[in-house]
Amino acid sequence: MEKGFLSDGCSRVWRHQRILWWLFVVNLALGHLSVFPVVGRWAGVLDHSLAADQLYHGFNLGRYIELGMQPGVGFGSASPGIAAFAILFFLFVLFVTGGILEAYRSPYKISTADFFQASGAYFWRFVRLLIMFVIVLIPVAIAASAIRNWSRNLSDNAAPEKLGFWVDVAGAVVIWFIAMCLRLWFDVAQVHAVATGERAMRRALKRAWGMTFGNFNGVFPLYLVPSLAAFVGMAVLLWIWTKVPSGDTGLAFIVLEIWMLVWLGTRLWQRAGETAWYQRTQIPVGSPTVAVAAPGEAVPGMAAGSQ
Amino acid sequence: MTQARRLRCLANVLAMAACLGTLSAAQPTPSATLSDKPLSQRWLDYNIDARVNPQKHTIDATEVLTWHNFTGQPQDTFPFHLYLNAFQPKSTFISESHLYSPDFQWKEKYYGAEEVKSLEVAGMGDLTSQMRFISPDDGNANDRTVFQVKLPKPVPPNGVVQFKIVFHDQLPEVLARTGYKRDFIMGAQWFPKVGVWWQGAWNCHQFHRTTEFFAEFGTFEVKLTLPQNEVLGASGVEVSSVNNPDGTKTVSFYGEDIHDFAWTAEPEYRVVMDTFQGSMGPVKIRMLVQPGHMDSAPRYLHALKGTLDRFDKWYGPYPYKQITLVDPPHGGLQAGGMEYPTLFTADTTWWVPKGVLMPELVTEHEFGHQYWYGMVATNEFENAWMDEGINSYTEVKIMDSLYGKDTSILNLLGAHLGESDYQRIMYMPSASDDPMMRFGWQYMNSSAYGAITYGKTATVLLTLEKVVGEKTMQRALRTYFMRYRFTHPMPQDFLKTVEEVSGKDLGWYFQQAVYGTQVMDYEILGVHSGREDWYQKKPPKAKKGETLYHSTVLVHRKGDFIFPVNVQVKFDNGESVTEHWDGRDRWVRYQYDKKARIVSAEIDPEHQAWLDKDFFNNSKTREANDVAHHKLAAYWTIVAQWCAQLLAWLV
Repeated sequence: MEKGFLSDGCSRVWRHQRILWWLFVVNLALGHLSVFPVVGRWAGVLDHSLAADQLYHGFNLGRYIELGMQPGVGFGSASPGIAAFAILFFLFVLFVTGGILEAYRSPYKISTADFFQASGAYFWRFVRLLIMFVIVLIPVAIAASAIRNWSRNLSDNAAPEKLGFWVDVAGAVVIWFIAMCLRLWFDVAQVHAVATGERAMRRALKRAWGMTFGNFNGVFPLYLVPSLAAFVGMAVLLWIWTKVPSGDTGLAFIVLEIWMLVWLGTRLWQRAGETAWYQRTQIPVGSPTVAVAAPGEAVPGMAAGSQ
Repeated sequence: MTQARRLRCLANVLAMAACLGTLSAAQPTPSATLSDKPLSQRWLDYNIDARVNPQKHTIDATEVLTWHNFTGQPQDTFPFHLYLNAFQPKSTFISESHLYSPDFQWKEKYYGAEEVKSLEVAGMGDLTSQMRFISPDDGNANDRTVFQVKLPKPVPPNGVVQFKIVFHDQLPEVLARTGYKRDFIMGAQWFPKVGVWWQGAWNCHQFHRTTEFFAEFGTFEVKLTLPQNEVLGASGVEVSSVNNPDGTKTVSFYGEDIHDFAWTAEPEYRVVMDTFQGSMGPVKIRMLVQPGHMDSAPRYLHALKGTLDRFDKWYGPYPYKQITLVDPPHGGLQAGGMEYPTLFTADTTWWVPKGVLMPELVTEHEFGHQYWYGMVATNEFENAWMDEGINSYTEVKIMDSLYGKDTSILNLLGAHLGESDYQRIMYMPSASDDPMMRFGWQYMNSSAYGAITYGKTATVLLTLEKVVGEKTMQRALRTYFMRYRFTHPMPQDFLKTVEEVSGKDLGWYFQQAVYGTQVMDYEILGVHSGREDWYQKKPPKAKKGETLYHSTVLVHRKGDFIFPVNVQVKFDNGESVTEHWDGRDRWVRYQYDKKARIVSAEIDPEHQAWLDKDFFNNSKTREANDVAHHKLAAYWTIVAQWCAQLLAWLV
């Protein structure tokens, strides 16, 4: 059954691949813009220097560190740009998530206007969900930190040398699992909100809790399988990257961009799979679907129980 | 003399002979070196009988120290080190640790102590009450790492004095070099050690955060009594091991022509043995490796044998019968990467990939100290660059020889790092902070100490190769080693040896590099190729090989370090011109009239001026080549994209 939802999700991603490409383009553009200021300073040091060749043909770590020691060129100076543009991308994704879910639940291609209307309609609701998600993540972060401290202590003091490492690995698996479950729960809440036009996000979360953990065996693979695919894809692509000649920047860039694309695609696959699962299992047969409503407008035809 | 007395005398002589015979049969004269005669002037003989309690991490011992007065004058005052007292919250060592690293937190488990229970001097009685703690470096009254005792009567020149010291050690959990970690014990700096009479005075500094040690040559007979399950390693060679009825064993070690004695014990050690055939004879290699680190054992062995080989061929023979490598356990790496005579501690973890040559690097470096500290026993307190720095230089030469010039530190996933670059990068952040000639505890901070004593010294000597030649440097180091082994040379001894072997007056270089803080930074300020007929309103179309260009190269000495350099100018017709500039003026301009344009100009095209602080401005191409910055931009774009995607997971 899960395979059906997964393949259904896959076909929805494919059908609405414009979303994937647009997300990718925005991600790439913002990524490029984020390093743009520091690249200019690197160019000032490297473009007329023969020593730059040691960074192009092969990768002399010594030259790279030396570049970072140059006044005004330090790699730390790239961090604010990267952080700022990462936040911009984050806000962008936050904004379009409503449109993405609307597109995935629609049996036909939706117009750009409908996409952005849905994006706007659900933006503030998803902001509220985001705040709740961050609150929920706080104890998880504390637990992760405690496990890390524990594993460090074990690494220093326990007789078996690898014990700390294995505690770290086990802790990471547990934390990863919890984080996935929480993300899945909030994903379902988002899908539910879009499907029903739910405005009360706490109520949506409550409903999503029951749906998610009441059907955990069915719905969890919809999140797990794309996640594993993302990591396997990353491993394969990084392995391919190690085989690319060091001077072939273009090919290396393409390989790594495919990795970025795979990660975006698998995240959308999760969204689409969850939407397919929701539509086929959580909405009673014959229930009317909700129309996209602009903020403040009444939403006609809400599913039962969503008021 | 009566018949009876003659008979009694004869009987006595026979009895003595028998006794001596028995003694010599029971205790054949041990030897720890490959030489049949003493290699050093043996100022002292340590005879220590110690009982170690691994559960309590304590040592109770009796030390009999026989000191020979080779000072040429009467001596009545003797300073001693009690290094373990450094591990106390108000000591100079801990205070400096806190000063350099304000985040450093004192923990009770770091507490260590070395308490002298009694001090007797043969023929002079118990002088325990005469002991006085002194703080010659900083006046810290709470520092108890040096004490002094004044004898009631002086020891005459060429006389001998014998101290009998009963002491008790409390080992710290290893914070720096010595102590315990779980069932691992590193017994270093663990016994009262007399100072060195050097340059006409006693030299006995307090224990500082950034300094190491200085001691006099002699012999060591050490008996260690521990539980029978302990696997031991120590300086010198093992002479005997006797199991005691109480479940302990007493292991005797003997070392000669060494100036310190360290040992280690742990039940879990795996022992790996091998032999290196040196020019003086076979050297036994004994490696004590953690069970979880056995993957590193072949790496240790390869590095150690390769290093022994290069040192033997390049600098001089290793004269001891044994070298012991100690691999500390995880969590105890603060004891790793440390040198002691004929024994050193290495450094590894279970996850170090082969492309990260940390085990090899530490092995090479610490073995190198057998020469630059162990035999050429410089004052590590006052001239740290002479052991750490010269050793870092030979580390570059040997690691490059064993693992490749550009890959001797790192060779992983396409990224690489060579030793020369590593040393230079280490020095660059503190390039002008301190001169090399500075007492170890007087550097600006611990970073400057490390950068200058290790990185700068190695880089200074690498750059010196450009002046005197690599082979000459090798000969100079060999001469220095052979001449000053088993002595305590001064900085001038080293510098003069280099001048003597090279046949060059290098004062101009040493004044800047060794005594000064000048920074070397040359740059190509500009390259230009313009047509000779530039003034014409409509000049004929340029034709390669026919149009005449006036080209200029402007070379600038940006730093205050004056150093002669070559400047190589390349033209687009394949021609290359090499200029030599003495670097004394602030700048020089080279001009050319050729039917070719400049492609590039490069200072130090041989890439030997390692002291130059900025390699990027050492060259300039007339036309820009943006491939390198595009490559970096591509990778950083990926990093930025990935960070953004990870953050977007929250949505």
